[in-house]
Amino acid sequence: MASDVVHIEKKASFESLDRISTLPIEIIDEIFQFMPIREAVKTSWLSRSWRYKWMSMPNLVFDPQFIDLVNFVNNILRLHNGMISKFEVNEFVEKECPYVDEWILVLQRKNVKHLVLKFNEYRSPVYDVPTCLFSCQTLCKLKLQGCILNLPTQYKGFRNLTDLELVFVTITNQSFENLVAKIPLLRRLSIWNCESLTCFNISAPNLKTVRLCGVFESINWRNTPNVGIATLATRRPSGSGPTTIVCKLDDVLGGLSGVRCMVIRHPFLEFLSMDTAPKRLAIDFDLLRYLKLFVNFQDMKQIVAVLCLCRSSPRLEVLDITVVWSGQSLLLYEKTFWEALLQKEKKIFGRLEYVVLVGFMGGQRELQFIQFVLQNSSMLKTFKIQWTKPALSQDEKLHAVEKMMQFERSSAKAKVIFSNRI
Amino acid sequence: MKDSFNPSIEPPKKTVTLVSSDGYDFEVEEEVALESQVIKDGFEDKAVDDREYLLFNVHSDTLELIIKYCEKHVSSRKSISAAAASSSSSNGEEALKEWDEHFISVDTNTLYDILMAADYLNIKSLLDLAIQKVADTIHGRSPEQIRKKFNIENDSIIDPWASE
Repeated sequence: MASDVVHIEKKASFESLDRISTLPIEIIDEIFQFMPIREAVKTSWLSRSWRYKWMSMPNLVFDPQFIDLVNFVNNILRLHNGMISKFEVNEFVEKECPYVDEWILVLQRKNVKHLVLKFNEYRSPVYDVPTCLFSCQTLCKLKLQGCILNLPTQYKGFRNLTDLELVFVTITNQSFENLVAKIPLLRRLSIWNCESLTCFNISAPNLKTVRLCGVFESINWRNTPNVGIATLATRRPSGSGPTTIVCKLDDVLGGLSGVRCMVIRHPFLEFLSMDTAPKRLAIDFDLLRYLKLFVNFQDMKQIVAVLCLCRSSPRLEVLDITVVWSGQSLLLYEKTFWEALLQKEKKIFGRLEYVVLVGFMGGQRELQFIQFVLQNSSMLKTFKIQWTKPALSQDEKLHAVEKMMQFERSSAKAKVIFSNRI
Repeated sequence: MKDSFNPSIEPPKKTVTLVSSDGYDFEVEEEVALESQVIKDGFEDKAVDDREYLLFNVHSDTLELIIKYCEKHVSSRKSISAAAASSSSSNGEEALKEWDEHFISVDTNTLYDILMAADYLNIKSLLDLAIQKVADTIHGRSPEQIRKKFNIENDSIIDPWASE
């Protein structure tokens, strides 16, 4: 057909054409996003028209791959001639680096939206974040690692910030409270080992996801009705020894009434259960469907706390428990405790469908707990058990399984599945 | 494509007509055409009997590829969500990824055409796929190799490689 001939001719004439150089700059910028920055800069050698193309790429991500990166960043920022949407430097910046102030100044003028600044020796921060950072009102996401954050006296907040992550950042309790309170759109907050920060007073009406990890004395949820996903973890204070911190479950979890998914990492539960937990909390987690806990079954108070959380979560569907072994002195098996516990309860596990127990050691207390769950969860579909590592002997396993076979199950559909890995 | 006959008893699916820059008609199912954000944006405002789109920038060769891509993605999405609903395991997403990989393994000219069409029609996943492909082609190659691959003429006065 005639049209086919035209096609072939047309195709042939394109074979030798340089078409990529004519792509719109927006697409070229997109292409640069999919390759390391050094590769993008290398395209300036291709031809005259390519010489300046990379200079408008909006996302600059520097990974610690090659030497003399600080100079490289300086050069890139000097030559860059567009707006910068994202600027990320990952763990190659020395803590005394004299250029970071200048970078932030340049970024502020280039309306940076997403800033990631990670110093390499982050455990003992010395870099004091300059005041000009607080003028970056275009910022949407901010991640800082290994620096000192002092709020300027005229701190006005971040109008557009939605994500804030602080890792090994030195900040006072008062500054933190003030910082967060003036970020009206904050949706995601993550705090990781900020040693000087011990009291979390959080007021963030739009906060949806929160992750707090570190040493702390108190958590106060001032105004956080929308938190849906919460991860809480704490380390023991360095120079360990018994801690005097006592956290009441009600105080720490009271402000999270809208939570849908909650993860409490070891040894946070230990602190929570210093004080014996009540039978149930003052509030109900009406929306909570997923609960992940790290439990030391040697500690009765932790088990009481687990049951307290479960009773207060009427819509819980998935319970994910990891067995932890603290190696602390073994308490004797309290018969009365379990006898009191093992009664049938009506107001627990009403919607529970799926339970995972990771690191099962076949101990008496774990078995009792399994018995309690099977006995009281009428909707249960699957109970998945993963054996601890190093593996138990076949005899020990058989013993545990035999015992479990005898447990009453209130759900006819409940399957118990053993696996070596999940 | 135009005369494809559907023997199932279901009511005939709604279709729209896409017209390529060289004047060929392609009749496709509505949901396939709606993969394009540009078509989707003005779709509700258009009268039902006037659902014909003239795509001035897309040649029939390219349009055929684009439709193939959209059809595959619409049907894969359905089978993946069906598998999820019946909670049976499926490797649908992986299979689709493999299919994508194969689909985009074309010569640089076709790649350019797909890229421009995906941009024009605003099909995000296809645009990302094509862009990733171009980036992969550039990544790790010397300037000379890239020039050769994309027929870029070296008109630089200074060639940093010449001095080495």
